[in-house]
Amino acid sequence: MQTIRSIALACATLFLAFSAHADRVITDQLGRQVTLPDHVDRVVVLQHQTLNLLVQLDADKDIVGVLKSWKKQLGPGFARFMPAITSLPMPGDLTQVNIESLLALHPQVVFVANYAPAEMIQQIQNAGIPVVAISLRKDAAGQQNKMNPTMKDEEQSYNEGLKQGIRLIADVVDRKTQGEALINYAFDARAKYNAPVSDIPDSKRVRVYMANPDLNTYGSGKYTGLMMKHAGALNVAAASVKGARQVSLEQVLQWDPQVIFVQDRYPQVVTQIMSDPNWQAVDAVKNHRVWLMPEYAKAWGYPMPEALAIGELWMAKKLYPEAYKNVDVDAVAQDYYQRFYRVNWQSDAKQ
Amino acid sequence: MLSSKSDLFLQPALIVSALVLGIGSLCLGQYPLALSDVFHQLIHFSHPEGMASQIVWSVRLPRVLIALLAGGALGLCGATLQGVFHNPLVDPHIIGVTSGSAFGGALAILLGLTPVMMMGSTFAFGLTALVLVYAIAALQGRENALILILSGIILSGFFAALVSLIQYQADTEETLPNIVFWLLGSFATANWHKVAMLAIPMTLVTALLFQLRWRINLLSLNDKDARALGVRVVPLRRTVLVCCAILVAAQVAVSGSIAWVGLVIPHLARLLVGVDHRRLLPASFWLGGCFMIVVDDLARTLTQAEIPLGIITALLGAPLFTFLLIRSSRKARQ
Repeated sequence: MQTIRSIALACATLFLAFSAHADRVITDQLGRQVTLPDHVDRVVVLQHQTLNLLVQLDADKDIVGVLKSWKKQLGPGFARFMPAITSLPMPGDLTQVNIESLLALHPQVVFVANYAPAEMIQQIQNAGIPVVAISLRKDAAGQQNKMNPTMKDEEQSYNEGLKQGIRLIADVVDRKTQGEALINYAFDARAKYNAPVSDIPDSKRVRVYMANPDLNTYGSGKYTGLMMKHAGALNVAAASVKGARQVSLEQVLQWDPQVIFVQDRYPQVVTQIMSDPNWQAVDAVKNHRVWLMPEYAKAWGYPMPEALAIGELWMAKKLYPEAYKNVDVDAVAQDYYQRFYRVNWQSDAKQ
Repeated sequence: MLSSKSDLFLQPALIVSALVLGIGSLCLGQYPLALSDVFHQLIHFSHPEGMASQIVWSVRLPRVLIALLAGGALGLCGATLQGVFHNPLVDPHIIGVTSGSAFGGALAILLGLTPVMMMGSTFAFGLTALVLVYAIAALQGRENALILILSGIILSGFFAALVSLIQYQADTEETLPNIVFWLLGSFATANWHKVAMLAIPMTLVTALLFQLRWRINLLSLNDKDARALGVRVVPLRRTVLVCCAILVAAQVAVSGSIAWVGLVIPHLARLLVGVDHRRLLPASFWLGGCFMIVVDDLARTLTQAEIPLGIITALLGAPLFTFLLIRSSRKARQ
């Protein structure tokens, strides 16, 4: 009797040990090994890019907390893709977290940005919650948490990094099919729509400046420059500026860009530039080529699949309308939004 | 002079109120915990696995302790420096250590250093600033209170410019928010390592300052009078300044720079216990601790996310300081 009981006990222990092993180990984009529960359906996301990707992977139902600045980062219009977001708790932001608010949500995993402070990652981890850091870049070892990484090949780093990031997120929330569909669609669309402008030599490319508020712009090492490259343009800032930085007006005057793009989230910048007497000498201002970009053309530091699939197309058509006479960008956008955001997209009147 | 009776009563009252505030703060937070749970956890330290135990022992307790120590350090430093420099406008920023430390921390964030190295860099640059203050004073060939204050202001300005340079260099979307949040000060990442990191140097230095408390009274006379009383002013002042620099550097290393506390708290303490440093120093310590605990309670409970401490200390400190000024000038007129 005693033996039977002890065998039963041993079996029970083994079973428990195995069920604990049902956990899985993944590697995040900082190269950290993270142990996750087998099934995840309570996610807190403290990075807006990942939030956007989770919605496109149809995993918004699993999100139980979001970053405080989502409205500022993604625009208030983001709520139409995820109506529940307006009532979700906001336990922290890109660079800080209130650990008690976070614990109160009982999350199974927390997504953070690659540049979240090491202390913050450590703190969440010490509280027993797995942390997955997302960079959407595939960097050389030792460069992962750098803000302006040294990259041998930006193109490869961002392409592979985006794929890796989407796969990682999809893996965590168990949306692998959706992840592959998103990757294939975005990269196929990009290849198809980039073709007409891909052979333009550097000297013939349109010189473009990306105007963020207060003379901030993106230099090299960011996705923005790649986006321009794929659309047949040349980022004037890339030669001398690294990363997201403030530049001087003199520098802009010297670059004399032919086109100025402004991101959807900073519409006031267009009027500022057009009405500022100091900018009137710039070629783009003289020829009224200061353009506000649509929401999907996310010329961010980080690549987003919609920017690859439709943003680059929009930009290319804006710069080379002749080459894209037969392409209806709005229809492409509508298809994308229907497919991945599950909403009926309407082009805004302002564009 | 205050009567010794009220004095006997005041110091323990301050200590008790700091402790009561600390224990009360353990019951506040975003995680819903009943009062009974908190006290149960405090009394029975038996099962460290549960969530309640984790919240009380590794989230709230280290945080409250750091708030107490950091606030105390700033209050103590402010009171000491105001005495040493014979100037009620002095706060711990004046010796340049805060700016030096802030530069060390910001640089560490820019370079992406590990938390431990970041604390080291913060501490090291804080002390470097003090060494430079003395170097400037030595180059002038004199070392009196005015020269030291001026050197401190020079270095504060210089390091502040370096911090701005780092902010300008930093990536505006990734690193800059990190630096700004850190510069405004926060106890959000408090843990027992940080408590130790702050408590060990503080205990040593505070004990030393406390031993020197009656000599600081002499330093607060002018240099000639102090010398006449047989005090070796220069070495004594150096010791006191090094102590203050260590306190400030340790505080900035664990929680970022926090303004206003070191300026306002000594004035408040002086109102309560008078100008005698034997009583002023401990009173400033405990008052600073109380103030910081309250500020941190607001920082972590007002919103779901964290509010940087620097914003709250300034919003509370400025009106409090105004009130103190109005009160004392009214008193003077009477």
